[in-house]
Amino acid sequence: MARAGDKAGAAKPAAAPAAAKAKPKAEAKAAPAKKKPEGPKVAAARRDTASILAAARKGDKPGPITKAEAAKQQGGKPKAPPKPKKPAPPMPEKPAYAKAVVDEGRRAATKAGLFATIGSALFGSSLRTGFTALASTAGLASLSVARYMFPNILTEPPSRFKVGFPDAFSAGVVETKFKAQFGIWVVKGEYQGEAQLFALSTVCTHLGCTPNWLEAEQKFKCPCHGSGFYKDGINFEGPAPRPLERYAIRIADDGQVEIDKSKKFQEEMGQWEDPNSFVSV
Amino acid sequence: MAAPDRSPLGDSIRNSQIWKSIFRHPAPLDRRNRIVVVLTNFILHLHPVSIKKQGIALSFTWCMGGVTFFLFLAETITGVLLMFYYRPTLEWAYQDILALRDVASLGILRELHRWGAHAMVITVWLHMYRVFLTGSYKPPREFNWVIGVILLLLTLLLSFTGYLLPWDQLAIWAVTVGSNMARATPFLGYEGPGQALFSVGGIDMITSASDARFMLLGERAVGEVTLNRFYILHCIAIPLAVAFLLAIHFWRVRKDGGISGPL
Repeated sequence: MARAGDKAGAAKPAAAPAAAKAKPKAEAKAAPAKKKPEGPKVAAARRDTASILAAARKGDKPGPITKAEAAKQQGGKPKAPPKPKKPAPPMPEKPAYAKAVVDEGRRAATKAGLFATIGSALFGSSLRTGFTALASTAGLASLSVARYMFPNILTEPPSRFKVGFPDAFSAGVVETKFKAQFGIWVVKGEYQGEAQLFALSTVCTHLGCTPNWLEAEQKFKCPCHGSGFYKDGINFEGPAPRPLERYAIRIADDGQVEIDKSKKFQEEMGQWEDPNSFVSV
Repeated sequence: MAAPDRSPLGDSIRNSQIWKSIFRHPAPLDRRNRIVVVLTNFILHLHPVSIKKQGIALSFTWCMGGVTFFLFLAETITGVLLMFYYRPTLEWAYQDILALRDVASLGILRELHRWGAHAMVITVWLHMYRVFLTGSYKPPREFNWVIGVILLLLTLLLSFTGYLLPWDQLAIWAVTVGSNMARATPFLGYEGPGQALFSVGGIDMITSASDARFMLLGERAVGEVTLNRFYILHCIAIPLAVAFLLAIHFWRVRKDGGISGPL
């Protein structure tokens, strides 16, 4: 159903099936119309091939005849001599691109041969060079993107900060006012018989939640899974596997207590012996 | 082949320049033209022209793959709508989720997105289970199973990244605990085995600011940078990967013999 050259408009879709129907009808009409002029020539209206041929032959026009009959008619009349058969020309030589590739395996035995093999594998043809360039570019691009995903800027507060003078802290008290801003508790407490000022990390050693200091019960208690720590940070209940970590603490030049969160000390590794992890009081 | 009753109005529309510029074929009236219309149409060709009757046997296919895809589309649409009123910053993330519930006119949209996510995880597992039970992973369908597993992982990652976006306690701590696992990765995590393998001249290459967890979070602890990263992963990076793999997944179903065809 051709849509191009649409001129009739609305009538066309309706006319098309009608036209399609009209076509075979017209052909049917044309066929008997063709056969009619032959009708009066033939007395009997037989329609098989032999009789049609016979009727056609009877006319003055020579009708179709078989090859055998044609040969019999001519019978013995010399025909033109048959043309000599030309021998087929020899097969042309195969062009270079169609020839089988030469095996280069044996060349790689020596070191020079190995380089030559790799060189030809990568740069042997312009197609190979092209793919080598594509693969190298894609590889470099992937590495660059991987590096891009590591940010160069850390948006963290500085790891070193001051929290006031050592006299501001009372003995046996856990100072919680730096918990929200710096993530530490400053404790003037005891460890192994010594009075020390130290900074505990507010990160629970179980899975990283933030414990709370319970003043009434004098213990740190983590709300996530119930890990419990003593005032000095040693774990005694719950799933915490080890004590809270300490950060480096020192008295700065101006006399204030300065804490450095970039250095941590773990009790279970004996690092609380390190003088950087506490200030003696 | 009788032409159906056509109104002159419908005919005049169908013969207009605008209509014919959009629809390249007239409405089909016979089987051949039905096939032609489907095969040569961009949207319609995504479905096969005809499928075997066994392809809709629900007791065999469970239709879980189709349901999962439907849920993916629903999540995409609800997600895009939610994006209009959500800002992935520390200042606004939590407030915007509350506002989407209380102030925006389709307050149920956030819940639809959340329920759709839960349902999609469930249906994708059921789909995987069905494929296993019916042996539809056997050759020539093995690679499609591999693609399916990757799609499963991407679905779970979509859930993980999306969970952070409301920026409430559940979100922050779930992502903290989940990402803490990454720091124990062998060789690539700063607390994992083999961490010291990549050290150049005594300086560790893999530290808390350069390991796999750092690349995922964008910083050393879950914060605003992480929120932005997860927002991008959740809204565009992982969905693009899922869409690409889904196209291959559906293509392979058709080319490997059709859904639930005999092996």
